Amino acid sequence: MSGKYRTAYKQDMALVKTAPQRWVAGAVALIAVAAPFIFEIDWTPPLGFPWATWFTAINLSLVAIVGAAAFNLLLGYTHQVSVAHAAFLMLGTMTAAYFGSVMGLSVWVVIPISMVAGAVVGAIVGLPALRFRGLYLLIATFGVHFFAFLAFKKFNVRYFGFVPMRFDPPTIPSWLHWLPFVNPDDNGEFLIKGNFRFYWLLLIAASLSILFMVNIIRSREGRAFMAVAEHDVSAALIGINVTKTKLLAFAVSSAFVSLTGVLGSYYVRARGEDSFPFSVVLFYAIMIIVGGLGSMKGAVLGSLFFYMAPVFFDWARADFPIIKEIQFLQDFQNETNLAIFGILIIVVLVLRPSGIAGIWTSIRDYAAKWPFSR
Amino acid sequence: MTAGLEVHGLDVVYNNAVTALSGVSMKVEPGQFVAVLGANGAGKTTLVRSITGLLFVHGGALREGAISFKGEKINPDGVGGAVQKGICQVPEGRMIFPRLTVEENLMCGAARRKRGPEVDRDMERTFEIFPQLADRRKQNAGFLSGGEQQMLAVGRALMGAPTLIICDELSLGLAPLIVKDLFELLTRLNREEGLSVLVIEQNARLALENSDYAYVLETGKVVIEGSSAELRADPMVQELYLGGAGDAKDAYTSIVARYRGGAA
Repeated sequence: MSGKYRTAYKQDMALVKTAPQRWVAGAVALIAVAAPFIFEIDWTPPLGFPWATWFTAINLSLVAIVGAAAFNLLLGYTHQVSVAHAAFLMLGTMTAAYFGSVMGLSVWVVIPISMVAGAVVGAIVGLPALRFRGLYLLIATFGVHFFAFLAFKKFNVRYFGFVPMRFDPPTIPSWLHWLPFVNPDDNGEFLIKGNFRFYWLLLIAASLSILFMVNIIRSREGRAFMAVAEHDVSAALIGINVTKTKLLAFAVSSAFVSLTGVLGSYYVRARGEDSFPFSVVLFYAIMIIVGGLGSMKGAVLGSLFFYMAPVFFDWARADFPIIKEIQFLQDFQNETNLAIFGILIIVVLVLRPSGIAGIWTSIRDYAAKWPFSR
Repeated sequence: MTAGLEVHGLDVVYNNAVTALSGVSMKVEPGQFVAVLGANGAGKTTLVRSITGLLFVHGGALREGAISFKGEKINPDGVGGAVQKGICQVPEGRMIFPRLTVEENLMCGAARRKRGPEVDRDMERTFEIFPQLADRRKQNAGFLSGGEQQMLAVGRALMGAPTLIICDELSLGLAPLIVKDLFELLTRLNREEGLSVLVIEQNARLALENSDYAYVLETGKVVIEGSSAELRADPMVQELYLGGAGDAKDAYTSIVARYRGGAA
């Protein structure tokens, strides 16, 4: 409780509810716009901090934000424990590879195709959710993951042979060339290539996706999701169509995860057999648990944290005076990164189940109630 | 024409049937540390063979392209031509002479030079760089551990007084600690003595940390090239070459080495 109470239904429905929220939103937008320009500055930070690598990490987390928010919609808001997350990333990747790389369609056509494919397959995969709950649903969706993995491998060999799938850089259509910073090259094309240009595509995609999902959550469907999550029988009693609601949650979530697959493939430019192991699902779980379950803010903060922290760890391991002497950390680079995340999950679950987003909320409440804070 | 190594549009075919390289161009400037990365079968070793003139031994032939060093053309079928010009190779799988002693092995490395005080001085310097080898001067090289054999192979290449040293798969089958030491040594020689270094590596993380410039080969073509810092930030390189699988393997080898009390 922040001490501010809403007195009308309309206030509760608003996207931006208070004046401070408006300021924070403005500040976030400002930082988001300024960030790429700051990263473009050619500058060598002290102790050899990998500046350029951090830009890559931010772009990767922008990709992951979409997927983490979609995962959160399903797990955090609707409480459907699905681990078919990587399966839909693979589905998105395969649609991008087939329609984009094999058939040569533009990315702007590939994106809607993959989202529709994701929604349809998502609704089918959601069918077991009508019968199963919790662990049993987890096992059922576990099967989906391995089915998708097999299909992914076969697909790779069928269309690309024994090399990774390749994705050409997307282009901006010529009728949009009046946009600022868009200066076509000699062929009259504008390729979205490199961190700076991709940042804008990913930022727009992530913002629109988050806005869409936030709007779902604060509308009738979102409340139906949460009602089903709390108690599906009572939800049915108050007139919610549980079947429809569960399938809708799966369809929307899968559509956005599929979009994540497309964005990630185009950004990374290559996807191979090793790109989507089962641990990808766990990574997304880390993002939304550390960020804060059942909170869109949590999904955003969690994925930023997940990608930016390892850059920091790697840097500390390579260049930080005392830490770089520890041989153990040198030998087990990826393992120690994962161990830190594992410990973090335990710490977060025990001490602060609401994650980074919850920390933000308590700081805000402390400030709002001052001087009566405790 | 640069003063360093220049490879231009290389097309290599094995047994008139299998294309190993198609249109590979690359450069090693004097005093530069260059890495060539790639998975198995990407054509890394073929590239080295073309430079050092060992292609015909393996049934390969240069269809097109040219290789030059210090502005002079290298004959791709002339074994030894590269060595005469100052390119020394540390071959894949070490290939030391197991029945010769450590000292004799090192002397072989200086085969193209006249024996004299300079060669003796280089020999002493090699023993300073690798003190482990100095203890085993008179031992048969076959009795050395894997790490020591690799040191010997590097030492042998250094005995040829190279301006460019080519290391093919230095990390193959060695404990990570030893590999790290060898890479540190190469970096030091590169910085302090201006030795040009070309490393061919599967361990992308290690190669990118130590080199200035890097090429990524895939099925016989250069797919990415750029400064090593640039490549480390490239999401594609991260995805395909800096992923978790390789690290896990490294970690495993290091455990084995430590707990068996192996060469480390």
